[in-house]
Amino acid sequence: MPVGTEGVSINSDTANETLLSLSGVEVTINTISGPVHPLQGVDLDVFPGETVGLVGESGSGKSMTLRSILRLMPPGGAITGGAVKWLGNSVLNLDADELQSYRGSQVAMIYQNPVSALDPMLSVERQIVDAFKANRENSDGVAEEYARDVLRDLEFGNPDVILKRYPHQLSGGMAQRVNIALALACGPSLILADEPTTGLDMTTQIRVLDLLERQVSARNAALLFISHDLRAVSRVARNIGIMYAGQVVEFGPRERILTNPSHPYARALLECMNLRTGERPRSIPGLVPQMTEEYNLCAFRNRCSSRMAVCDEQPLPVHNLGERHRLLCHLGPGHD
Amino acid sequence: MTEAPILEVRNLSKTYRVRRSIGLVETIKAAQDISFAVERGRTLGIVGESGSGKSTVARCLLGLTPLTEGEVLLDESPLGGLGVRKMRSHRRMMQMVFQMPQASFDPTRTVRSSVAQPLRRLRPDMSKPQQEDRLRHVLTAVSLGEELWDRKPRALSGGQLQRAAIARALAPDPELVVLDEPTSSLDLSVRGDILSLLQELQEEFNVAFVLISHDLEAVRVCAHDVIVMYLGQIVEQGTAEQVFGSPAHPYTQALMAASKFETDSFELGPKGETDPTKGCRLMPRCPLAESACSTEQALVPSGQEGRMVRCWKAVEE
Repeated sequence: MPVGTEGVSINSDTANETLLSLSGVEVTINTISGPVHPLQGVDLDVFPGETVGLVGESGSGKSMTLRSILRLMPPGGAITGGAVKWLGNSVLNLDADELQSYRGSQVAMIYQNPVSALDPMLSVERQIVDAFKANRENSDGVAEEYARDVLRDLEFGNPDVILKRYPHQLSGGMAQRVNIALALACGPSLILADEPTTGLDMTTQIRVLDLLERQVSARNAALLFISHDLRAVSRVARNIGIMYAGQVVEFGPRERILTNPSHPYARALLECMNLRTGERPRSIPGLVPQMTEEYNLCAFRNRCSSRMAVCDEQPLPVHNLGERHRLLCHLGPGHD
Repeated sequence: MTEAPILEVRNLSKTYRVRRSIGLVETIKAAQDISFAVERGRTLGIVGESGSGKSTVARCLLGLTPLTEGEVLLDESPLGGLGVRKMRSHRRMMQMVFQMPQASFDPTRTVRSSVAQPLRRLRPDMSKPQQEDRLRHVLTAVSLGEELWDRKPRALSGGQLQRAAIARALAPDPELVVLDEPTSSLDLSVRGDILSLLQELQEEFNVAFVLISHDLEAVRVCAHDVIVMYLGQIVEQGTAEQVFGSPAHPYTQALMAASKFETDSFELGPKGETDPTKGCRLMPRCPLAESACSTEQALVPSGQEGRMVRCWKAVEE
């Protein structure tokens, strides 16, 4: 059972037109050295056309959350609890054919390493055309026209030159824009982006992020964006979730999360981000938890500066604070 | 400062010849006419995008690649063209910390053995017990828990391993440590940890750092002096306070805006496909470019003492 389901629930504002809904998702991976539990009860809703960002450090379960949405499990891994629902239907029950059309045409993914996500043997044009035709019956002409148009949308000055290129002839920023073109090709309603700009230069990062956001919203698609960089996420996402040890510990509107988060981990992370001259750079003491353990209590309590007796005794409560602001912490809202 | 700087770089240039196809060889000026000095016990930050030549400069400093032109003086003696023995004494004075701690350790050795390696190789003057003392001293100085000393690298987190890498660099008692993106593969919650450790160690060991990073925030809090590089050239140079407090070059301004994700204030055009060979290298991307920018730009003093800028518009203002 996911942690916290028996906790306080103040007011539920989950609308019924949810595009994607994860509730209590748990993932277990069996490795030679024993089971690992990267997801320990992830709750997350994405509504049509909205942009959601997930922030977390390495090992917090960000990427695994995206993989569970697509049911792309690593070897030995399985979704062992909870539900993944797409427009109210369980993704976990899809058969192979249904899964095939769900991936790509409903939900598409953009990966972290743009060059290795492309096929090195095929031209840009071939890859976009193939992606476009994957779940459609169309002639080559339509697909080629699409390829040219989408590259123009993605601000390539000379699409015809780029179409003839191979991945090794593209810079990182260009390759990631081609990946965005591939993800958009089947007209998905949701785009998942796994650290799409992490390896890119600062100046390129912003350009790619802005383009991604603009093109996704121009197509009325939703975007679920994950990154370890809160600044990148806040540039794009309207709602932000903070992940820690396989759970979304706080979720809410961008302004709330950036200016006045309630979870001690979210507060500490903001402190680490803002370096000030003449002041000692901040860090969070202690280590990121090992996901070989299943946490029934708060996984952050050993590093938390606001630890209370109840943290060592009771499972985490869920506080729904309105406007989709949601918190997993004994402190509750409104503390300082 | 009256004492001679620990490191002095004079007009360093590095050109790579790249074979594009049969019969077509392109020369790439990875670093062009770079001059700077690092004072003892101080930190010089080098910032710029990828392809700006930051890492080329680092490789030249460490003697990992021969210079095309110019010279590097370490403690007033020139680097390069040295015999093995002389090079070894330079190695003792100059160490390096790499970006990826996992990749910079031998996975089959314990942390203790890896950290002891430069001591054994570079400090034959020290006796075994002296080396052992030194080893304990540096591992304790970086606050690496003693229970981790005899573990293999894979048992340590990225932050712990980066501490070990810093201990390894400090072990032979160097005068200068070159840090190439020491925090960019680490999580945000440990970045501050490593940065404040570096500040402490600098005081304790009186060591100079060259901190190469695209993380402007990290450089801003750690560095005393800063170089901003673009396509192999220094475009702005000065104290951290000068450069970050009132950036003069459009490229520095754009980098600072980008690092705060506030591009609305100042945005560069997209990165070019080809390098302009004449005039200001930033011209194709610069929102302030005028026809006068197509002539060669020199790095000239501007405003405050010690500040240099390669932009005629910034100098004029």
